[in-house]
Amino acid sequence: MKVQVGDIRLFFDVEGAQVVPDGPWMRERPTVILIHTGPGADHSSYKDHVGPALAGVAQVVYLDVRGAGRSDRSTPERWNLDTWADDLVGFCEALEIARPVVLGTAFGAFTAVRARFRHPGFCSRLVLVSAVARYSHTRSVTVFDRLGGPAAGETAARYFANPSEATFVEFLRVCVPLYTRTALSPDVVARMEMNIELGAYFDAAESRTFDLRDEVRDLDCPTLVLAGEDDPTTTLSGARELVSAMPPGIVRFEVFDHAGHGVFRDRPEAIELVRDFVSAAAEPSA
Amino acid sequence: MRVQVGDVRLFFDVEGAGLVPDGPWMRPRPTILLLHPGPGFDHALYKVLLGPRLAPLGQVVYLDQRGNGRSDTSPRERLTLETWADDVRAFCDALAIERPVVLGHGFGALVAAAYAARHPEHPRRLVLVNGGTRVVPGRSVAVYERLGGAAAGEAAKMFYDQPNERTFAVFMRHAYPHTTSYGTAEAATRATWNPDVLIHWRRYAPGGFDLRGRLGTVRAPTLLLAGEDDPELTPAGSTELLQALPEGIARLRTFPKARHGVFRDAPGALDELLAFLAEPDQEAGAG
Repeated sequence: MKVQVGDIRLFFDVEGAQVVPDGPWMRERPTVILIHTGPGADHSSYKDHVGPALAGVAQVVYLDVRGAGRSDRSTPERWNLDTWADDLVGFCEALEIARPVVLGTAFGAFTAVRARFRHPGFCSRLVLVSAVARYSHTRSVTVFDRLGGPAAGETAARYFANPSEATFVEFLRVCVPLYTRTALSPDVVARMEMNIELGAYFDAAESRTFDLRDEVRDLDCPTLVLAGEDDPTTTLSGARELVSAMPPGIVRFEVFDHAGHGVFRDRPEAIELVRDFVSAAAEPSA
Repeated sequence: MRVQVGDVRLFFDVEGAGLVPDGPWMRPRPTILLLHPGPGFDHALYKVLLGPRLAPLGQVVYLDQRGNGRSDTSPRERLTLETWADDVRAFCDALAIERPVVLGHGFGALVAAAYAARHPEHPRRLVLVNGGTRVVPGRSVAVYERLGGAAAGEAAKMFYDQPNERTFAVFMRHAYPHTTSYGTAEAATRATWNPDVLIHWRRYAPGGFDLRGRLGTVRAPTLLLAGEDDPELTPAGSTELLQALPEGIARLRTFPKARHGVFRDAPGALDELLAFLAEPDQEAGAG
């Protein structure tokens, strides 16, 4: 399905009902919106594990962001975190999704944090998977080097120095397989409606400059942060930097060993934590 | 969720994804749009049996129609069969839903038939359950009386003759329990009722529309399911509906002893529906 949000139509998909029979009544369940990584990827990689697992406790909404997947492309002037964040809030308004739980991975997590910062109170909870305060290419190159040897480190350094569709091809071949410890199935990649131009644009532009530390200092909704020790792109030290800027008591930080980017591919059981966290968003009805 | 459709915001709910992983592809599944009975009722009854059974076959979308459930209502002059029918098309356009299978029950079947006649290219298939072409109070009153005795017949008649809150209450007490064979208590408590819209319908529907002679434009393959003991839209209505549809596109199955909830009253009805949905699309280009 698609819905008009400002100047564009955004693609979304849904799994699990919002209102379900419960004895003689209908019970409202929380909504969890899943924001994909990339931004040049799309929602599809959530469909094989994360979404179906959460549909048992919530209405799961998969969203393709502006420029990605099956949503309208828009134009590069509007490919920035402020716009993506406003789109997310505009999307919720267009469909009257009130106080959702927002789960984002990497780019999706940055978008979720920015949306909460620009629109305080719009979400009830945040799940930030493979999130960092800011990108540090030095840290990232170090982990690529550790996981894949010097060739991987050098390929990553070349791409970071000059992100383009051309350098991305080698990065995709040498470095992307190191994102997770469990090999990414070729089917998962094939199923993505990728926009490489969009990914490269973000990597060359805002990914170099954003810093979320000041945006989480007044974080006021329960937040779950999941990080993988062997994540070469959104590194563990980047995640620590983000968490240490958050107010104490609002965040639960879980680090998984033998886990790379996105956590769940290497540690599928991590979804249990998220399921419990999302269930807790179900407030008793008035 | 609710979405803007013309002058109102309509509530909808969803079960099952529209795109599913299938090897190296994301495979699109058809949308199955469910139009609830009523009006004054809502989509909740579909959540118990039909929605969960259909979700493996497609993306099930439950819609609360204008004036019903969690959707906005609108002035009386916008609560007509034509408006409800056009809302179905406009709702699909608002969410980029293309070529849906549309299933309507009772009031929802009347809306679905009118929608398919007004937007013949739009539906992939139609399922008209406990449907008809018009509302004929005398037929309904006679069946209520046969099933529930004089009190039920009288309550049904009073609600048609003088639709108001008092006669609605009497109808709910004496006639409504006979609407299905399995008891209606849970359906009643789970629904978000809008009695004003039902009262309006009782005034409007008997003379407000007649689909006979109006369904010649329908093109979608159509399945009609009827209950022999349906006291709301009696089986005569489904026969009229079959006659009003173009020859060769529709088939009617009538189930003995089944009332207004044909899927639970007659388990064979669900098998009939699943078989119909499993048939390959005839037309070129339809997936």
